[in-house]
Amino acid sequence: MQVSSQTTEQIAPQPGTVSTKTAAELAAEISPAREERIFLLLSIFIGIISGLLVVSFRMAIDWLQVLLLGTETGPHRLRLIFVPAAAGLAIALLTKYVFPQVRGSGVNQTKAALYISNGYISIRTVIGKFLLSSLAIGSGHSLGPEDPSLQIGAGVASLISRKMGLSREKLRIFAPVGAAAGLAAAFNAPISAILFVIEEVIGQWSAGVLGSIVLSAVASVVVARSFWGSEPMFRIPVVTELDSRELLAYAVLGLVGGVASLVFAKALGYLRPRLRAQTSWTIFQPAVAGLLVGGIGYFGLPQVMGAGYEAIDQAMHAQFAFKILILLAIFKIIATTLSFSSGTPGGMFAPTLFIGAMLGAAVGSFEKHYFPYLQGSTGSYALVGMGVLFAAFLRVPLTSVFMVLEVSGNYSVILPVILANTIAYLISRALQPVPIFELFTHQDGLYLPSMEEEREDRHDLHFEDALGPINVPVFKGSEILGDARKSVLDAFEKTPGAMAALIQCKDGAWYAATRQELETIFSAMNEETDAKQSLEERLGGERTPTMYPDQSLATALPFFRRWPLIPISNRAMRGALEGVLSQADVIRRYQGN
Amino acid sequence: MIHDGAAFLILTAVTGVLFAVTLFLFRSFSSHRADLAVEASDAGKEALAQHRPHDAIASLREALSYAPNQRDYQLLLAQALGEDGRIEEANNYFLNLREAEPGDGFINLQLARLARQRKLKQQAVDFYRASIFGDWKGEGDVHRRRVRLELADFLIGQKDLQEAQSELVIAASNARSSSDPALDMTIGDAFLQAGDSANALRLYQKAMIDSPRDPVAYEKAGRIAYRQGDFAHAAEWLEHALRESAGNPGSAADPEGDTATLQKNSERLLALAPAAATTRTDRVAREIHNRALAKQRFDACLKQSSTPKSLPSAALQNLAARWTSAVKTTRIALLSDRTTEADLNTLIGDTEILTAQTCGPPKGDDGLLLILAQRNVQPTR
Repeated sequence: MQVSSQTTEQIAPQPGTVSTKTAAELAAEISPAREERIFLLLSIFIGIISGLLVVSFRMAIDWLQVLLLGTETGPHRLRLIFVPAAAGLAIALLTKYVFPQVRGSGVNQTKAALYISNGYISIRTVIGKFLLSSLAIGSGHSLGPEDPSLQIGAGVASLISRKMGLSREKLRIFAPVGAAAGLAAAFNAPISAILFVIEEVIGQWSAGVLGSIVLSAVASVVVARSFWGSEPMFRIPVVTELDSRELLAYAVLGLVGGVASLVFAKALGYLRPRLRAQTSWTIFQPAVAGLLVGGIGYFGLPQVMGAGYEAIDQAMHAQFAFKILILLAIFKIIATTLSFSSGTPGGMFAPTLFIGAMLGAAVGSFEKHYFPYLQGSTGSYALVGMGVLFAAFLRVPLTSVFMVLEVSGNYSVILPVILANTIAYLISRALQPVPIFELFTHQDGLYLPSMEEEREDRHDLHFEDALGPINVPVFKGSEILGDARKSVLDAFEKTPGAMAALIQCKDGAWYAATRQELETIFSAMNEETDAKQSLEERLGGERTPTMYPDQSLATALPFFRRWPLIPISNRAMRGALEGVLSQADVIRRYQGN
Repeated sequence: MIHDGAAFLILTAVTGVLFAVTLFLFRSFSSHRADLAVEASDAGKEALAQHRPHDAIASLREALSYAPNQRDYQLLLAQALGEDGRIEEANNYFLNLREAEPGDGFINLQLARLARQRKLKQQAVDFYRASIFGDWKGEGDVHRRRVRLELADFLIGQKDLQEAQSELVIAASNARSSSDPALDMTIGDAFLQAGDSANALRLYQKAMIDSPRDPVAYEKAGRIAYRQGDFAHAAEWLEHALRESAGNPGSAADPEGDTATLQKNSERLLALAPAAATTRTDRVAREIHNRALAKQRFDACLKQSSTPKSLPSAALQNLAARWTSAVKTTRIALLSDRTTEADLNTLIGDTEILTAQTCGPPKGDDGLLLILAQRNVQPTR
């Protein structure tokens, strides 16, 4: 915001100069103001169009599912095997020859567009993502529609902002705006979408872009709800009042979820690069994956095929026995690993929710069987389980908590959600240091910023990290020049290496002076007129800025253009110094010495 | 500014067109899904009607995948799950549905039935009561009465007869204004099962008035009257039942015998019972006749139980001592002294009871005398 105000000031027309500028120069001058003006309005349009496209995308998936897999839901139908295989082959051919950029989920591709291509996502990629993801999910590949929706939204934003001739800076900002819109429409949960984009795409809270993200997410959800209705994605089960003893069971769920997410991530991390290395048969990989996933469906677990929302719903309403829940979780991990590693375009959100719901319901069923006096419903566990996997596998702890709350509309599960998600997240972090999306980017040869690190700001050093002792002479600013000259010259004589000194002024402020500066003052001093003047009066009104130990070290460097040292004050006692900072200290600290 | 204005105009137009296309596709999509949902739900209903709950579950799940918020399908699916023996799943399903409509009579009834299957008595009773006081879409009074009768049936099964009778009293009271003999009969039967024969008889009598040609009401009322010792009514109602059922003998499996036998017994009991005599002379005559029968039965039993090696039991010997004086009691003494008359009737009763215990159940008039004796000991059931 500060930048824009400065810019506005800079372009303010000067009287008498307007007529001398060309129209192009004028347009260039007024361009930033124009972008500010249309920014929010465009965000709404991006939200609406993304919402419409996501509605169409979901329709396409459902339509293809009925068309390709039929209306029956049971196993033992041959088409369960052949359809995903045939669709896999078609997808591989189209990916290779028509839409080469559509592999993967869409999250990393959006991040890559943001950090590498200045927010550029081609229209071909958007179309390809729409068509191939819907074909993959509709034909039964174990993938979800949320991440592709995110990329479709980002693509829409990219296209619109390009057509509007926006600057490179704005093009980059619009990618996450569109991403939030796409995800919000797919999830029917605007808060979760906004948080996900902040946690996983931007990596930090940015006031400049937050307003636009909120507007576009809300606009897209309004559009999606006008078609699908305002009901949440899942029919939420009865969430009973929590018995505090149940927190132990939820902690177990966190543990189980953390381990499951680790297994899932390890499986993907192992298989994906190996399949990508097999360049000679890349074209057949989605077909083989489809065949195997279809096989799982054919031999008894058709629930693992596609996004699996119906199965999630059934798990939340305690429709599966314990053994089936465990089997479904295991085979969903296998099926998704196969589908995703083969390069079939589609998302990881729905499978993650699926696995989490099954594990949660399994823990809930176990508890219900062995501790019947506890009143917690299986549905509550399934609901929390979804959040657990989300936190541990996708490594978005904040989004995971809000997702459960937003999807359930019930805040009584907040304690178990926070507890279980935290445990799962910590286990996942400890045992799988590189988050899954980051791992994929590394496997793809890209090195995008780590959102986990960005969020936690781990490398942001502070003044206290580079602080040195006060080894320069210190003088009182109230001393008259006549007395000061003697003490200054004595001090410099005693410490010949000191090239600067600190002068403590009356109001608790400090002045960091160079030795040369002081020597110049004293050499230019008029014995008759200046002798009674105090040192700080002689130094003028300027003072070295007051800095504190917890401030970011990165902000220190510009000060050394003017000051030889930065005195670091104590926040509780104005004027008392914690130490001093020199340019050499800062550089040494950044060099890791 | 003009450029931006035009750009936004185009953007608005594109958005409008995209909206229209999406809306068109969505309507077509929704209509197709609705058709598929109806198709699948019809198959589910048919399977449910044919008692193929497993197939019904598959079809209804399919229907719900197309119309996830269709309450009717959800109810049918929950019902199918219950019928398929998946009690826990059905229970969870209904509980979730109840969350949305806690006062729904049907859902509470289903939950009560599931709790009944899970042998959770208090939960079943609570759900039954919630169903009775719940919301029924149309014919609420009929549904509520049906549920109340089901609750009473459940309570009878749980041997909680007092509670069952209370529910039946309310059901009967609510049905008082209606002239539905079938309903009266149903409630009457329930009363009978709950051990309240007086209320059962009252309901049967109401059914007899409303449907005088119905032999079943007469037969059931006759049987209750017989058990209560009201042989006059028993004979009358059973005769009516036999007449209306054109000689149908009724249930031979009934412990009291078929209707015809019961009717004959009633008439004979009326002839034997001193209390049924219209004059004192007649009564004494019946007592003398009964004395002869009882003495004959006693002598036979005494002979049967006495062997050369063992003496009859002390009770029989005691009874023999009482008979020694009783046989000498004259008709005049009986007519003049009520105490003597009462003693004789007691002796006859004791004899029939003791000989039945010692020598086996009697037949013929002795059997009927035993009934009279038991009636005196245990006047009304």
